Amino acid sequence: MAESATTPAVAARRPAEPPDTAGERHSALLSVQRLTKSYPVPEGRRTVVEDLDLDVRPGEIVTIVGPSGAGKTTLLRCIAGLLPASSGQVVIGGRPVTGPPEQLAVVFQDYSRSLMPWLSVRHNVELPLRGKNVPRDERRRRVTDALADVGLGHTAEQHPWQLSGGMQQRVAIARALAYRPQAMLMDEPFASVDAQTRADLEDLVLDLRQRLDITILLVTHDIDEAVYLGDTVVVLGGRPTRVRERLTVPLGRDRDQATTKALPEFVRLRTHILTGIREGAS
Amino acid sequence: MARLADDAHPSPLRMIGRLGVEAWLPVALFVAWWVASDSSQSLYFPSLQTIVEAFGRTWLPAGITEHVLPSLGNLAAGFAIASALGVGLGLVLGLVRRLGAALSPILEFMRAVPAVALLPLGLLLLGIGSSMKIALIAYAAFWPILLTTVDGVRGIDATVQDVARSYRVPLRLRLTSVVLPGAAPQIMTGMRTSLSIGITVIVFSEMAGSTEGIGYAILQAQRGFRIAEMWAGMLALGIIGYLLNIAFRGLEHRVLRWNRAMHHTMLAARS
Repeated sequence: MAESATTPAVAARRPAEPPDTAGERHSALLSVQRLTKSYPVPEGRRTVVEDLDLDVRPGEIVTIVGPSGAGKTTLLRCIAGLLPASSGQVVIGGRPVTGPPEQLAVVFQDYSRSLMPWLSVRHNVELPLRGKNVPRDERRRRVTDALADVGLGHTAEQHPWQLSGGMQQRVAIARALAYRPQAMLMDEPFASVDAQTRADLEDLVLDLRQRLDITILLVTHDIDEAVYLGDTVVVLGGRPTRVRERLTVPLGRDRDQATTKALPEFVRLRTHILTGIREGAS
Repeated sequence: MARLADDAHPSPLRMIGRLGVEAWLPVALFVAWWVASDSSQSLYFPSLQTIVEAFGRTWLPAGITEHVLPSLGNLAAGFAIASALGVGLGLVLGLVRRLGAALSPILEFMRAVPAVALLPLGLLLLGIGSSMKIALIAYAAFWPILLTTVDGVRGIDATVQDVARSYRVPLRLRLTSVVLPGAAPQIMTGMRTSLSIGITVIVFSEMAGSTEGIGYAILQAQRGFRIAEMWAGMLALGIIGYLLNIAFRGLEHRVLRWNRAMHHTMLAARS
């Protein structure tokens, strides 16, 4: 695929990035503070997420991994300002989130439903920019650049349903890129594509981060994906859901599907997380 | 795949073929009617030849300006008002669910009152002029458009709505680029129903109180015992209804091009 050419074939085995300085709230771009979300149910209230803390620093990829039904999507919707928190808060750029913040762009899981079938690829990517009152020429440029960034420069005039699933999700990523957010939220973005496409899209994310230095918070249920993509992995678990563990991934920035996943450090982290999740489930 | 592509962009030859499929039965019926009624002596069922002659005499071209154009003008005005109000209010009720729930009993009641029942009131308030007919058509055609718009808006995918919200798409752009196109397939269905209701109402209102229009012409012919002309009027009405339906299908085809093409693509992917 297009991006594999720009992803270094051999990952340099540099030492880990500077050690994690967790707790440095002021340096965080996005900060979740004691977030609790509960729903009314016939028996009273059910708490889905409880007292959850999370920081994302600029340029970092934070992955959130947890078993299905752990309230990952609920958490992401609270961060995106699509759901109000029951207590606690989400802070972006120093301001608490009360509605969808302009610093965030969301890539939804279901690509086939998140793109408007009546708009061409170009107009899908352009729509949020029209809302932001970006001037016409600038809009055109941004759309063209964003589509080129995801390797879809040639599809601008097509409609989403003429593209494969993986390509549709690339369009959704291009839409997020063109919006020029400070951080991108991704909700299980590759859960519904085949394995090869999934690997390609994971590498696209790493490649985009290398080239554009974007900040990403990505939710997944796939432990391999969480470790492969993340600088920090946040493991969720329990009922209600809390942060079970926060792990720094010492694999550097140059990663490769074949070699990185064979590294002892990768295997150790994956086994560690899997064991933890299994224990939590039993 | 090739067959479906052909369906989207038919060749001239194929279009003639399709026209043939649609046309053979009407043509056959016309011929059968012509032959069977050829020697008709019945006062009420004149021969088709007589009817066609009467048709040429009364409708071409004098009847068109005298009766058809006023009818179509009123229909267009009433239909336009119904569409604007129906889509407008439908958007509001579809988006603001609480308001929709609050108004639904009143709307259900008003919808249950047939437009023809309002004719005496219309005559009383507006007389026998155009405004009475336009008001009646607008009233009758309003309901299907309103209800399908509400359904269409509520049926828009939740993910699409989330996208619009999370990317802070402002209300006006959201209406024009997300809500209206998303609800368009349903709205068009409502408009098509409303169009045929509108034709019924216009004829009825012209029969009840008018000095012009197709309905008026048919009734006058009957009262004057010009039975062939009465039949010719009915024939004219059928032709007009058919042509309007074709025109509307053309409009629908344009507006919903993405929808048709999407379904073709999905079918092709499955087969």
